[in-house]
Amino acid sequence: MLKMEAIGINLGLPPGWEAEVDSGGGAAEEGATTVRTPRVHLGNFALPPNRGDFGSGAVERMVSGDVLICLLEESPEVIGTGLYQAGSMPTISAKDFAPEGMQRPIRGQSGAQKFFHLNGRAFALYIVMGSHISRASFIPEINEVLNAIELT
Amino acid sequence: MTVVVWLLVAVVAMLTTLVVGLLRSHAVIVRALHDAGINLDPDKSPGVQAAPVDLTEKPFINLDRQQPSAGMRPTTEVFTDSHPDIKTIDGVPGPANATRGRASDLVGTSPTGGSRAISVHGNGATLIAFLTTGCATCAGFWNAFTDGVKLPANTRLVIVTKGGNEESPADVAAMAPPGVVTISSSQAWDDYQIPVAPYFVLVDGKRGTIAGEGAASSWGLVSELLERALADAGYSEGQVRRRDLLRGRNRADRVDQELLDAGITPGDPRLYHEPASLDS
Repeated sequence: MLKMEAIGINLGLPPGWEAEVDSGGGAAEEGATTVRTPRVHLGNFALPPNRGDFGSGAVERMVSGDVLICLLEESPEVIGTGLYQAGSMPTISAKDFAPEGMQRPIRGQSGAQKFFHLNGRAFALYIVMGSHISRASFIPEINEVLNAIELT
Repeated sequence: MTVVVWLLVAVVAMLTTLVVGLLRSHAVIVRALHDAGINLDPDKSPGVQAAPVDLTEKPFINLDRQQPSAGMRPTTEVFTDSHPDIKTIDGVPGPANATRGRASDLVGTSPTGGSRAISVHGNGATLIAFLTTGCATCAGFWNAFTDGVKLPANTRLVIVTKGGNEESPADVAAMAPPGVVTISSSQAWDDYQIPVAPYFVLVDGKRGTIAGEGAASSWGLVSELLERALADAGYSEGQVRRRDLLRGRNRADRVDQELLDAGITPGDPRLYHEPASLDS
């Protein structure tokens, strides 16, 4: 399992997965999408260099078998309010995915959204499945990736 | 009784001869390995001393294992599945050549300052371009990648510069082509034992091995030899290995690739048409 760490976020990546942790607010190269808030992107496919917070630029290239996980940090002020009630890393199931769960609907794909806080940090979790029909077979691997995330 | 004693003496003499023979054989092997530059001392690493590279030779790339040439660091067992998965207990180094030809995933810093992990394992191939921001030959590659280069199907390009202690992050950010994944990682240069820049490593993602490597002076030369190496590895455009075809392996990937080549991306409404009626 490949390990990486940045801005207090530790990741463990299964074979074939890759990731980028961006602290947000940094200068972006020309043509790149500026990262406004700290974010983590994990995928079991080749992540393109320029992506929006919710994976635009990557989701359009996703095919059956591809999974994209976006972890977006929010202000700690939201902890305990509205959607940010859960105090642990979410566990995902197949029923969490729906085509309507996509930030921008793409036929055949589906998305899941969860919100949580951990160690004083609030996050929005957004997962895109390249193929809604075959989503069930990827749930164990997604949860393995999520369980390997440590927030300090 | 006398017969038994003589028999025992004979057996002891045979065993002694056998042990002496084994020790001599072992000594010959150790001497031969030493002469070949392989150090078996576990306290000294790396076990394999890299072959010296003659940098005075004209830079070139040779991804064809059939034609190794001077100036190219040879990779062994390319395009084969023969790499043994040898594991040792903690504290005991693996056999000297256990990692030769094995590809390592890349971890480094992105031009925007983020941390980036890149997997070179998967269904496709990865061409890793080890570049610096200062060398004149590298400048040609930075420009070519910024203008856009045509890569073979199922192949992606990753640029790797040295880390922040050896390269200016601002220079890397300024030169990084917008559409190409670029990271800074001195660790990657060490992992792949890069002798010179520019230097290219082609990773066969299916096998997780290095399919070829070498230096080159222009993208045209890299591209030409890349196509040949990929064809040998079964990555050529439209080429499907017979075994994969018969077993239906990677069928979904092939269909997706053919649709992408035809300009049909996920969500394209043409994918959801009702099939045309034969009667109409």
